Amino acid sequence: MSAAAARPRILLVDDEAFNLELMANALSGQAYDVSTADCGRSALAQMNACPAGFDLVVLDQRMAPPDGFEVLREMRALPQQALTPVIIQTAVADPDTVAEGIAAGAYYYLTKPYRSNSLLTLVRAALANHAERAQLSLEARELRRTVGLLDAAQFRLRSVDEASALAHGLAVLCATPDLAAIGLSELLRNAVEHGNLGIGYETKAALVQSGRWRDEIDRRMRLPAYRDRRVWVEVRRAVESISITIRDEGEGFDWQPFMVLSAERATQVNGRGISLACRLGFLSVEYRDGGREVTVSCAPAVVCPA
Amino acid sequence: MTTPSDLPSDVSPAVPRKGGWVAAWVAVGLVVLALASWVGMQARVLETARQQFADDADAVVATAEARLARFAEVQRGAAGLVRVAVTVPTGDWEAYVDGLKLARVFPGFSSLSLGWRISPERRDQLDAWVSGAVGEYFDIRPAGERPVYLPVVRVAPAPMDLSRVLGFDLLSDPVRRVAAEYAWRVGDVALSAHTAVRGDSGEGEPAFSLLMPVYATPAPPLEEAQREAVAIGVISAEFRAAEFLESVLIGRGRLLAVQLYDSRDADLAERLAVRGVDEPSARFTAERPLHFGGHAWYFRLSSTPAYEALIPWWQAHVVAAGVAAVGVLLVVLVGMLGATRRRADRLARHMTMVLREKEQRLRLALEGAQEGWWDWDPARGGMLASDRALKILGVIEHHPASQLLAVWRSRLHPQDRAAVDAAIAQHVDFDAPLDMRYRIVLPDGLTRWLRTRGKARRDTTGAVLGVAGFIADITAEQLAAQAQARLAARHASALAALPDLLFEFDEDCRYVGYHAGNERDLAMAPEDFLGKRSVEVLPAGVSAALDEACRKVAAHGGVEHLEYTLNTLSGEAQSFEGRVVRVETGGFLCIVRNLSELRRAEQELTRHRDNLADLVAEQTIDLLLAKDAADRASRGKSEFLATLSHELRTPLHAILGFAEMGLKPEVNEARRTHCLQRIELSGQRLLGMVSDLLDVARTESTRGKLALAPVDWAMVCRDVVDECEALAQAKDMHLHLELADRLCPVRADGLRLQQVVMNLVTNAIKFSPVGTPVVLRLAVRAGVTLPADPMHGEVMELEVLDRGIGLPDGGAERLFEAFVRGHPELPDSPPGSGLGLSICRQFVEAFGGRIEAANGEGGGAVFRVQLPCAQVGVVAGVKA
Repeated sequence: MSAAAARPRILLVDDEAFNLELMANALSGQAYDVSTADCGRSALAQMNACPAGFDLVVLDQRMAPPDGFEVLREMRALPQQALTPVIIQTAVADPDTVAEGIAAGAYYYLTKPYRSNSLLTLVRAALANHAERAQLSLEARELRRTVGLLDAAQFRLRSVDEASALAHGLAVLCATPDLAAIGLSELLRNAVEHGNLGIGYETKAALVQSGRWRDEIDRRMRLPAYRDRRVWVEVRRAVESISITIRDEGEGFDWQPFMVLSAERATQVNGRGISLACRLGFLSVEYRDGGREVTVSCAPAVVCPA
Repeated sequence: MTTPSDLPSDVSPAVPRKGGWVAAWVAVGLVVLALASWVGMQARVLETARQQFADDADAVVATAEARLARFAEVQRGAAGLVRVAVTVPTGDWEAYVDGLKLARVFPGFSSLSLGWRISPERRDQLDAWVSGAVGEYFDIRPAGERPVYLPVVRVAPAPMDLSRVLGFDLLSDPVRRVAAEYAWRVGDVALSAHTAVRGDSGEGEPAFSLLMPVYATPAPPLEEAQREAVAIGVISAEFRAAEFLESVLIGRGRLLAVQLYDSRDADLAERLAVRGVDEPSARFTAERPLHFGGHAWYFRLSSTPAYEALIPWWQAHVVAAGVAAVGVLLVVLVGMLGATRRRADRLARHMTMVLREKEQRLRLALEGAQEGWWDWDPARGGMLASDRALKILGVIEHHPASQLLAVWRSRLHPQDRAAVDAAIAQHVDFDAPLDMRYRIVLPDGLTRWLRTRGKARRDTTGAVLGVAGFIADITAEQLAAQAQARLAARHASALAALPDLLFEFDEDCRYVGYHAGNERDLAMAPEDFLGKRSVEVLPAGVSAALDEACRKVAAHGGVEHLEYTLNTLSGEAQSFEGRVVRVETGGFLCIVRNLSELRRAEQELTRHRDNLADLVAEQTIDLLLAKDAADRASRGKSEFLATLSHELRTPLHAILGFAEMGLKPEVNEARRTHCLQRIELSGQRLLGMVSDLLDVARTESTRGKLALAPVDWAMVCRDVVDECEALAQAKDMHLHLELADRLCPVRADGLRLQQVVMNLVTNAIKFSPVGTPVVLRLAVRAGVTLPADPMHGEVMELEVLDRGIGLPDGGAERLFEAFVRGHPELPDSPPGSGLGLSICRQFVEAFGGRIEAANGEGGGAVFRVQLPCAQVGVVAGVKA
């Protein structure tokens, strides 16, 4: 993000005039520059016309052609919008549609009808996430050459932040680092939050909803029961694949329901990490030891000789 | 039947070895015999040779004696001459001696001389006597004083030195004196001992002399004393011993070695003559004395190799060879005799074996045939029968022969008794063959079938001596024959009932029999094919197939099928199926079935089946179509629901969103009103959507219950135009209804049709600019085919034309899908539900019609609805 201090530019795309009006209204009081487009073509035209690009795009999935996903795919071809976070609003979020969207690079979903607050929260989260991810990716990319030489390594981490950082650092080993970063990030954060700190799925959902999630994490990390728990990450490079084993010191969990993307979790930001990891970028995801240990493998990145 | 006692067992197999030994012994014996005969013969030959040798030796001695004797005769004659003539002149003496040719006749003869006995007082006369011989001179005169002298006065043939011979006093030589005195004394010739004759070489050769006394009396006096007294001289002959000896060896004696001794022992000094070499190795030697003239000679004879060569040893060889030959001949003869005997033995053995085999076979045959023999012989006391015969007759206990016939008769089945008697009578009286089949009843009540064959023995007059034959239990055979007969009868019945054709062929595929259930199935009259080969009577293809089938079943057995078509006596070509099987006893059987009827039935069946298949295929296609439609409907429905969810949420989201916005305390009044307006519009849209949905649902649920009836479409159009007038006027638009002159009612549900028209008209108004016209044009179209009315060809058509924005690109067909809105971006009006045209299409299609959209020629859109005419008729149009 070139201008973190500048007001984020947001493009809202919907063929329903009333909905555009509502979204614009919801974001109006914030420090955003909001533009609207009443059809896909208009949206793409605006993106083309703006060299700096938008910092966030909200797309209605169902529009007269081109629909939301088509717009998404086309905007990804534009260099300035290649990594822009995208929020998809949809009337029906079936898992296949969500998976299709995630594969196309849209990680956030809003199901109509929603409250204006939800939009605002999601916009904020997406922007923040993106900023952090961009920063980490940037740092990781600088490490790329060094990390690319890595053959086998073991890491030890404790906090959620460390998990995110390591995820992005290791992702550069993989052929699709952006997808791998998301998947690894999900798994590593799971290991910290759900494994070591023992926060269940429902608990986390509630904490996130109430905005106390971060506090709860900090609180638990100070508790003697959780204080000394670590997450161990082991990386091995083989010729055709890289295997990353993540092991936590928690009580384990039943991972089976999380392997598939169910309809109710498809649009939730949490709870879909494992299935996303399964679907994104990894050749295999394998749980062992009652869910305490997971090994993923991915195709290695092509290392430039230079 | 009893078997003959076993013949002596086979001759020991060691015979050949024994023969070998015999041969060896015979050979050795032969050799020994030949050798013995050879040795014996040789001994005999030797003995004979020895005898011969003795004879030869005797002959030599005899010859010598004979020669001497003959010479003595010569001397006796000379003595006579001398006595007569007293003083023989020398010349006469010589002539006399020459005339005798003594040298030739007596080899070895040297000279013949005359010695004259003179007393000393007459010594002077000597000269007178001698001078006549040698003239006036001679050297030798008797010397000494002896009472008597005996000088040689004549000698012939005369030697060279006659002078040294004449006058030699013979008595002066002791040897000659002994001989002379002996001769005088005995009055006969005397042989002297060893003397010498001076030969030409001057050396003395061994010689001897023969002295013959000369008496003054014509005959010698008988008294010995007187003989001496009257002796007047001697005739002395000198012989060279060697030549003499040579001359006496004649014949085989010439081959002998002979030594002549003067004394008994072989003193060399006394040896007179030698001929040949006295070899110590000589096989034969002999000594022979010869007493002659008061002296003895000894001949020592020995064989020489030449002589021995004459021994006939070959006789021994010949005899040995002869013996051997005879022996060999004998052996050969004996061998041949032996071989002949062995051959005879073998033959005998072979014949015995054959005989035994035959006997065995007969026994087996009898046993196999379960036959027994019997012999009725009154001379031997009745009936004899073998154990089996007795068993067959059920005779268990011993019966005397005399009763057996009665037992047999008693067991005859009463019904067969007469026939048996008749058969026996026939045989006895007319010599008809005796072969009876009859029943007997055994003691245990069982009835058995028997067969008896026999033959009567007759004497020269033809009278019956006895009858013998065989008896067999043929119950099983008889039962089998009866069963066979039943089976055959059954077969015949079955055959008679068989509808098929049946042909019987021999090995050459020649017809030998047939059966035809229906004669009209035959291709020709039976007499035309029976006895002929199939190739002669059937078409080439059929006969070839038949022959091939026969060949196959002959080779592999089993059943061969063939099918063919033939023109039959019925006058029609018929299809046949033949099954060929091989008959075990030779030949083939072909069972032929007329397939024509079957074929017809089959064809009928096939036809039905094909029809059925077609029917099924048609229905399957229908079903597939139906399924396809159902699938499409199902797919459409889930898609519809997904879309519906989205479509319903969109206005709902707007309502909720604006409500949330308006409820915020900080909003002013104008803003709140704005929100409320938005909420109302969205609510209305939701309402329209819900009512449209209800329509759709109703259409779906009432599709089969549409009230289809002839409807006056023109009337419907007029109603709609009237209803929409106000709406059009709001946009300053005009509606034009154009009705053709010729119209017909359509089959439809009036209310639904009105809804369709209304929808089209409102759409036209909605999407057209202010002040433009909307035209409704209703007319009859010919040559249009609708799915529901394929035959009629005439339809009613309504066109709704506007001057609006036209259809979206490529969206003509999509327009009629649910929730597709042609122009969603249009402002100022509540967005449509997107269901209107979808509902129109459903209704129109339910009426059996068609709806389509296109861009009009002068801009704008044309919606066209075609419906089949309900009936031909003209409704007077009323122009709106």
